[in-house]
Amino acid sequence: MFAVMVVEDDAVTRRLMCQVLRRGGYDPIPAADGAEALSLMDRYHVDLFILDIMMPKMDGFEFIRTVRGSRFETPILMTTAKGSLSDKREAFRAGADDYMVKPIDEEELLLRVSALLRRAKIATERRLTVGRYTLNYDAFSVSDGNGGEQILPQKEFLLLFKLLSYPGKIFTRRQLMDELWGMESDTDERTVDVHVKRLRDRFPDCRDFEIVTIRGLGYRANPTGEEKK
Amino acid sequence: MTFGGFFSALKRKIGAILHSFRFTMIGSVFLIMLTSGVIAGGITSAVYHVNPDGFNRYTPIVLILIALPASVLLGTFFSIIVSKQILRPVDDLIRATERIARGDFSVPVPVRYRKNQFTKLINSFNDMERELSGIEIFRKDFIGNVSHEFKTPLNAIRGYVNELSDPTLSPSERDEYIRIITEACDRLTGMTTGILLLSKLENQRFISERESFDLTEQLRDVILMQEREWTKKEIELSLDLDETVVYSSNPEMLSHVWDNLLSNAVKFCPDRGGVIRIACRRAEGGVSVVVSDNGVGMDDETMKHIFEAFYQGDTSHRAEGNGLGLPLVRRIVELHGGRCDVESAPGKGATFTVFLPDALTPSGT
Repeated sequence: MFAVMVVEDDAVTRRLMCQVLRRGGYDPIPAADGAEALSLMDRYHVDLFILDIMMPKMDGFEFIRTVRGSRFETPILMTTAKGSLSDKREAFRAGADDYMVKPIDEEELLLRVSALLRRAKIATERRLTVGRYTLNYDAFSVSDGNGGEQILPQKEFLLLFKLLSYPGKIFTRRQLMDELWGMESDTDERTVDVHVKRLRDRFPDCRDFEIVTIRGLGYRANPTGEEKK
Repeated sequence: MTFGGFFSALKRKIGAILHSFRFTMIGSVFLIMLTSGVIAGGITSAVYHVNPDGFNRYTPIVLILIALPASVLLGTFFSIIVSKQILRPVDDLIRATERIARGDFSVPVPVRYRKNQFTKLINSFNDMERELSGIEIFRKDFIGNVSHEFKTPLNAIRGYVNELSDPTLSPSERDEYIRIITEACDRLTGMTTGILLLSKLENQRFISERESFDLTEQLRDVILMQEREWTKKEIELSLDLDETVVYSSNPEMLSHVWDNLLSNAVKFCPDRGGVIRIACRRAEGGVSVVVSDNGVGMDDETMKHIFEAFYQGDTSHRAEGNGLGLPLVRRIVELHGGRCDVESAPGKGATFTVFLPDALTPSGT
């Protein structure tokens, strides 16, 4: 069972979040502020933090910096009452992995927690399994489970890895460009199209996932067998 | 600063300007009098030179004695007329300030003359009055509307919570009541967020933190953000976003416009066969974005009011909105100095066209 630490100064909200997490099958650890959270970290293993920004003693940003400063890569989901873009930017800059604006939809919270944990697992294992296929991040290789293995060019591999890490999620060409080629790159967005086409050609008979073009929007990887959203 | 405080300060200021102005006027009246006296003297001596025989040695004094008061009278008379003319707009302004201080924003100050400094002053005064009356209307109707809009869901929550304590409730009734309570809470949340944003925008006069970004990418982001909603209703999207359209604005602020237009389009689309068309193009002197749906549409009467806070034309969709979305859209577009036009007819869907001019001039009112 995954341990999720809820760092939140409001007692009612904290209790509610813990309740929701328990119902979702997680093991919640409540903490009233950043300082308490840090001291609890010595005693418990934590798989994920849900962190409020505005708190007494040590606020959310400071807490993230402390945690990240001591080389903890534990995923952090920030929650805040303020929904401004600058807040969001600061949260991500400080090292948060996701960001939710209060009031928080309980179901969405559970979805995001599970997505964060799944990606953390992918990040630590550096491999991703979709159906029969296994993607190995260190070798840029994809093995099909029947002894077949191909090594992909870096960009193609990263593109496939990205799409399959977020199954069902649509990415715009620009988002993929920024992620894979860097924000400053002035490569044409159509480069993404070329890479997607090459990927499709590489896995012509793939029954475990497909890369779908969403007209006008971008691309999405569907693990086959899962209902189209 | 309170409204009253603001106005008494304004009144004092204008009063002071006027006071110094009156002083100048009195000064100029004296100047006119003096000049006319000198001129009268001049004329007298001129007359003497032309016809010295008709003069004895008292004549100049007599003439001066007659001419001086006469020209003084004439000068005063003219200067009074002239000063009346000049001071009239100032008096208009004084009266208007007093009127506004009493809270009456109905009558603009008339522009009586050809273009001069006063016309400019009066025009900006009228702009200020219009602006203030907007805030005043917002303030007056707003408190009434807000209290009403908040009370309704609060009553529902209270009522159904009471009902929930009834031990004889069937599980399905219980679920139904819980659903109603959750909806009422969501409604309150949406309204609070909307009101906070709207009041922030009402106080804003220019766009802060401008940056250049691709508008079509922002539209794609907004569309993806609402993916759950439009996929649930099986809406077909027809997107014309292929051209890169770079625009300079505050991206967060502007995204509220597309967010609201799209969520409206989704809301009013039929459950099956809904089509939403979104197009973004460079236009003459700016950019234009079109969001259209093939949903229920609206009549002319509704169209007239949709940009007013808390107005909801279609009562059957009441629960899904809070009547703040389009006022937000209008306010943000206004801040950009742009336009938002609607075309619709009952049953024929609705098309919203937003035009945003390129930011060359600082945009305000």
